[in-house]
Amino acid sequence: MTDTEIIERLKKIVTPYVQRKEGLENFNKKTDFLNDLKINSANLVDVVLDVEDEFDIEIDNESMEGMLTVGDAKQIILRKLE
Amino acid sequence: MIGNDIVDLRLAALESNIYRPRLQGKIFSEEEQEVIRRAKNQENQFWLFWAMKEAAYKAHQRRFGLRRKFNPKIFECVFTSLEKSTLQYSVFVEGYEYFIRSQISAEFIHCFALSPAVKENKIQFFNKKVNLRKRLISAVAKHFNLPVEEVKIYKDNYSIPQLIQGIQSINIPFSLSHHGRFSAIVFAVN
Repeated sequence: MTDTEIIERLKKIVTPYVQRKEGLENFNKKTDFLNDLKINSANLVDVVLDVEDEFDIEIDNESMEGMLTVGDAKQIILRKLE
Repeated sequence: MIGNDIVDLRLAALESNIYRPRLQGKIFSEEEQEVIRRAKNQENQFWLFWAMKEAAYKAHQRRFGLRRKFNPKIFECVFTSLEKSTLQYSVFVEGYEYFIRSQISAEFIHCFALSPAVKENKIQFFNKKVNLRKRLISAVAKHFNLPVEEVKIYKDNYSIPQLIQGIQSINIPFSLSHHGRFSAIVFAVN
Protein backbone atom coordinates (compact mmCIF):
# COMPACT_ATOMS: atom_id res chain seq x y z
CA MET A 1 0.00 0.00 0.00
CA THR A 2 1.42 3.41 -0.95
CA ASP A 3 1.63 6.36 1.46
CA THR A 4 -0.79 8.32 -0.72
CA GLU A 5 -3.31 5.50 -0.59
CA ILE A 6 -3.08 5.28 3.22
CA ILE A 7 -3.48 9.06 3.56
CA GLU A 8 -6.54 9.01 1.25
CA ARG A 9 -8.15 6.28 3.35
CA LEU A 10 -7.32 8.18 6.56
CA LYS A 11 -8.95 11.29 5.17
CA LYS A 12 -12.15 9.35 4.52
CA ILE A 13 -12.07 7.93 8.06
CA VAL A 14 -11.59 11.23 9.91
CA THR A 15 -13.95 13.37 7.81
CA PRO A 16 -17.12 12.66 9.85
CA TYR A 17 -15.38 13.80 13.07
CA VAL A 18 -13.77 16.97 11.71
CA GLN A 19 -15.09 20.20 13.24
CA ARG A 20 -12.85 22.50 11.23
CA LYS A 21 -13.56 21.56 7.62
CA GLU A 22 -10.89 23.93 6.17
CA GLY A 23 -8.35 21.63 7.77
CA LEU A 24 -9.31 18.97 5.21
CA GLU A 25 -8.34 21.14 2.22
CA ASN A 26 -4.63 20.68 2.71
CA PHE A 27 -4.72 17.21 4.26
CA ASN A 28 -1.17 15.91 4.54
CA LYS A 29 1.07 14.06 6.95
CA LYS A 30 1.61 17.16 9.08
CA THR A 31 -2.13 17.64 9.64
CA ASP A 32 -2.82 17.53 13.39
CA PHE A 33 -6.06 15.78 14.39
CA LEU A 34 -6.73 18.06 17.36
CA ASN A 35 -5.17 21.40 16.39
CA ASP A 36 -5.84 21.50 12.63
CA LEU A 37 -9.01 19.42 12.31
CA LYS A 38 -10.46 20.17 15.78
CA ILE A 39 -11.54 16.58 16.23
CA ASN A 40 -12.68 16.30 19.84
CA SER A 41 -10.50 14.04 21.93
CA ALA A 42 -13.29 11.51 22.62
CA ASN A 43 -13.74 11.08 18.86
CA LEU A 44 -10.02 10.41 18.51
CA VAL A 45 -10.81 7.02 20.05
CA ASP A 46 -13.40 6.48 17.29
CA VAL A 47 -10.73 7.33 14.72
CA VAL A 48 -8.45 4.69 16.24
CA LEU A 49 -11.25 2.09 16.11
CA ASP A 50 -12.12 3.02 12.53
CA VAL A 51 -8.46 2.69 11.52
CA GLU A 52 -8.33 -0.74 13.15
CA ASP A 53 -11.38 -1.85 11.18
CA GLU A 54 -10.33 -0.31 7.88
CA PHE A 55 -6.80 -1.79 7.88
CA ASP A 56 -7.60 -4.89 9.94
CA ILE A 57 -4.92 -4.15 12.53
CA GLU A 58 -4.83 -3.70 16.28
CA ILE A 59 -3.54 -0.44 17.70
CA ASP A 60 -2.30 -0.94 21.25
CA ASN A 61 -2.43 1.94 23.71
CA GLU A 62 1.29 2.64 23.42
CA SER A 63 0.89 3.26 19.69
CA MET A 64 -2.32 5.23 20.19
CA GLU A 65 -0.45 7.52 22.59
CA GLY A 66 1.59 9.00 19.73
CA MET A 67 -1.18 9.19 17.15
CA LEU A 68 -1.61 12.96 16.95
CA THR A 69 -1.04 13.68 13.27
CA VAL A 70 -1.88 12.04 9.95
CA GLY A 71 1.82 11.16 9.60
CA ASP A 72 1.85 9.47 13.03
CA ALA A 73 -1.19 7.41 12.04
CA LYS A 74 0.37 6.46 8.71
CA GLN A 75 3.57 5.27 10.43
CA ILE A 76 1.61 3.18 12.91
CA ILE A 77 -0.45 1.59 10.12
CA LEU A 78 2.67 0.77 8.10
CA ARG A 79 4.37 -0.74 11.13
CA LYS A 80 1.35 -2.90 11.98
CA LEU A 81 0.93 -4.06 8.38
CA GLU A 82 4.51 -5.31 8.16
CA MET B 1 -1.14 22.82 38.69
CA ILE B 2 -4.72 22.76 37.50
CA GLY B 3 -6.49 21.05 34.64
CA ASN B 4 -10.20 21.08 33.88
CA ASP B 5 -12.65 19.54 31.44
CA ILE B 6 -16.30 20.26 30.76
CA VAL B 7 -18.70 17.95 28.91
CA ASP B 8 -21.99 19.16 27.42
CA LEU B 9 -24.00 15.99 27.96
CA ARG B 10 -26.48 16.64 25.17
CA LEU B 11 -23.71 17.23 22.63
CA ALA B 12 -21.67 14.30 23.93
CA ALA B 13 -24.65 11.99 23.33
CA LEU B 14 -24.75 13.17 19.70
CA GLU B 15 -21.00 13.02 19.11
CA SER B 16 -20.15 9.71 20.78
CA ASN B 17 -21.64 6.27 21.18
CA ILE B 18 -20.26 5.15 24.52
CA TYR B 19 -21.48 1.58 23.86
CA ARG B 20 -19.44 1.20 20.69
CA PRO B 21 -17.65 -2.17 20.89
CA ARG B 22 -13.97 -1.91 22.00
CA LEU B 23 -14.32 1.82 22.77
CA GLN B 24 -14.29 1.63 26.57
CA GLY B 25 -11.39 -0.82 26.56
CA LYS B 26 -9.19 1.82 24.90
CA ILE B 27 -9.96 4.40 27.59
CA PHE B 28 -10.79 2.66 30.85
CA SER B 29 -9.33 -0.05 33.09
CA GLU B 30 -11.38 -3.16 33.84
CA GLU B 31 -12.33 -1.66 37.22
CA GLU B 32 -13.47 1.63 35.67
CA GLN B 33 -15.51 -0.24 33.06
CA GLU B 34 -17.15 -2.25 35.84
CA VAL B 35 -18.12 0.95 37.70
CA ILE B 36 -19.65 2.30 34.48
CA ARG B 37 -21.55 -0.96 33.85
CA ARG B 38 -23.05 -0.89 37.35
CA ALA B 39 -23.90 2.82 37.34
CA LYS B 40 -27.53 3.92 37.37
CA ASN B 41 -26.70 6.41 34.65
CA GLN B 42 -23.97 4.85 32.51
CA GLU B 43 -23.56 7.90 30.26
CA ASN B 44 -22.92 10.19 33.23
CA GLN B 45 -20.44 7.77 34.78
CA PHE B 46 -18.61 7.42 31.46
CA TRP B 47 -18.29 11.17 31.00
CA LEU B 48 -17.40 11.75 34.64
CA PHE B 49 -14.44 9.38 34.39
CA TRP B 50 -13.53 10.79 30.98
CA ALA B 51 -13.53 14.37 32.29
CA MET B 52 -11.45 13.33 35.32
CA LYS B 53 -8.84 11.83 33.04
CA GLU B 54 -8.78 14.82 30.70
CA ALA B 55 -8.48 17.23 33.62
CA ALA B 56 -5.67 15.22 35.21
CA TYR B 57 -3.92 14.95 31.84
CA LYS B 58 -3.84 18.74 31.52
CA ALA B 59 -2.63 19.26 35.10
CA HIS B 60 0.07 16.59 34.72
CA GLN B 61 1.27 17.85 31.34
CA ARG B 62 1.50 21.42 32.62
CA ARG B 63 3.17 20.45 35.88
CA PHE B 64 6.05 18.70 34.16
CA GLY B 65 6.08 20.42 30.76
CA LEU B 66 5.40 17.15 28.96
CA ARG B 67 4.87 16.70 25.23
CA ARG B 68 1.32 15.94 24.15
CA LYS B 69 0.21 12.35 24.16
CA PHE B 70 -3.08 10.52 23.92
CA ASN B 71 -3.43 7.65 26.36
CA PRO B 72 -6.36 8.12 28.75
CA LYS B 73 -5.96 4.59 30.07
CA ILE B 74 -2.80 5.37 32.06
CA PHE B 75 -4.82 7.89 34.09
CA GLU B 76 -6.43 5.84 36.82
CA CYS B 77 -9.61 7.08 38.55
CA VAL B 78 -9.52 5.95 42.17
CA PHE B 79 -12.28 6.39 44.71
CA THR B 80 -10.63 7.73 47.87
CA SER B 81 -13.31 8.67 50.41
CA LEU B 82 -16.87 9.68 51.07
CA GLU B 83 -17.28 13.29 52.19
CA LYS B 84 -20.70 14.79 52.92
CA SER B 85 -22.31 12.03 50.83
CA THR B 86 -20.10 12.90 47.84
CA LEU B 87 -17.65 10.36 46.43
CA GLN B 88 -14.13 11.77 46.41
CA TYR B 89 -11.86 10.70 43.59
CA SER B 90 -8.20 11.09 42.75
CA VAL B 91 -6.53 10.36 39.45
CA PHE B 92 -3.16 8.62 39.59
CA VAL B 93 -0.66 8.75 36.75
CA GLU B 94 2.99 7.74 36.69
CA GLY B 95 3.02 7.70 40.49
CA TYR B 96 1.51 11.18 40.93
CA GLU B 97 -1.86 11.94 42.50
CA TYR B 98 -4.32 14.62 41.38
CA PHE B 99 -7.31 15.50 43.53
CA ILE B 100 -10.55 15.73 41.61
CA ARG B 101 -13.42 18.12 42.21
CA SER B 102 -16.52 17.73 40.08
CA GLN B 103 -19.85 19.39 39.40
CA ILE B 104 -22.61 17.35 37.82
CA SER B 105 -25.88 18.80 36.55
CA ALA B 106 -28.52 17.42 34.20
CA GLU B 107 -26.85 19.34 31.37
CA PHE B 108 -23.12 19.16 31.97
CA ILE B 109 -20.28 17.54 33.88
CA HIS B 110 -17.28 19.57 34.95
CA CYS B 111 -14.14 18.17 36.57
CA PHE B 112 -10.97 19.79 37.65
CA ALA B 113 -7.77 18.19 38.84
CA LEU B 114 -5.41 19.77 41.35
CA SER B 115 -1.83 18.96 42.20
CA PRO B 116 -1.11 19.08 45.96
CA ALA B 117 0.40 22.60 45.75
CA VAL B 118 -2.96 24.13 44.83
CA LYS B 119 -5.05 24.75 47.96
CA GLU B 120 -7.61 27.34 46.92
CA ASN B 121 -9.22 27.94 43.59
CA LYS B 122 -11.94 29.90 41.84
CA ILE B 123 -14.33 28.57 39.22
CA GLN B 124 -16.58 30.38 36.75
CA PHE B 125 -19.14 28.77 34.47
CA PHE B 126 -20.64 30.18 31.29
CA ASN B 127 -23.64 28.87 29.38
CA LYS B 128 -23.31 31.15 26.40
CA LYS B 129 -20.54 31.81 23.92
CA VAL B 130 -17.88 33.99 25.56
CA ASN B 131 -14.24 34.80 24.95
CA LEU B 132 -12.85 32.51 27.62
CA ARG B 133 -9.32 33.91 27.55
CA LYS B 134 -10.66 37.43 28.10
CA ARG B 135 -12.88 36.24 30.92
CA LEU B 136 -9.95 34.49 32.57
CA ILE B 137 -7.73 37.56 32.28
CA SER B 138 -10.33 39.85 33.79
CA ALA B 139 -11.11 37.41 36.63
CA VAL B 140 -7.41 36.96 37.45
CA ALA B 141 -6.65 40.69 37.19
CA LYS B 142 -9.55 41.47 39.48
CA HIS B 143 -8.65 38.84 42.05
CA PHE B 144 -4.94 39.68 42.24
CA ASN B 145 -5.43 43.40 41.70
CA LEU B 146 -3.36 43.54 38.50
CA PRO B 147 -3.79 46.01 35.62
CA VAL B 148 -6.00 44.06 33.23
CA GLU B 149 -4.41 45.50 30.08
CA GLU B 150 -1.00 44.11 31.04
CA VAL B 151 -2.10 40.52 31.60
CA LYS B 152 -1.82 38.18 28.61
CA ILE B 153 -1.93 34.48 27.87
CA TYR B 154 1.16 33.11 26.23
CA LYS B 155 1.65 29.60 24.81
CA ASP B 156 5.03 27.97 25.21
CA ASN B 157 6.72 25.47 22.87
CA TYR B 158 4.59 22.61 24.15
CA SER B 159 1.47 24.73 23.52
CA ILE B 160 0.99 24.95 27.28
CA PRO B 161 -0.71 28.28 28.08
CA GLN B 162 0.73 30.55 30.76
CA LEU B 163 -0.25 33.91 32.20
CA ILE B 164 2.18 36.78 31.81
CA GLN B 165 2.17 40.36 33.03
CA GLY B 166 4.15 42.50 30.62
CA ILE B 167 7.07 40.21 29.84
CA GLN B 168 7.09 38.46 33.18
CA SER B 169 5.52 35.12 33.83
CA ILE B 170 3.05 35.19 36.70
CA ASN B 171 2.77 31.78 38.24
CA ILE B 172 -0.97 31.37 38.47
CA PRO B 173 -2.11 27.89 37.50
CA PHE B 174 -5.30 27.98 35.45
CA SER B 175 -7.28 25.93 32.97
CA LEU B 176 -10.01 26.63 30.43
CA SER B 177 -12.48 24.21 28.91
CA HIS B 178 -15.30 24.55 26.42
CA HIS B 179 -17.76 22.02 24.96
CA GLY B 180 -21.04 22.73 23.23
CA ARG B 181 -23.12 25.20 25.22
CA PHE B 182 -20.84 25.31 28.25
CA SER B 183 -17.47 26.68 29.31
CA ALA B 184 -15.56 26.84 32.56
CA ILE B 185 -12.46 28.56 33.88
CA VAL B 186 -10.57 27.55 37.00
CA PHE B 187 -7.57 29.27 38.56
CA ALA B 188 -5.53 28.94 41.72
CA VAL B 189 -5.77 31.72 44.29
CA ASN B 190 -3.31 30.59 46.98
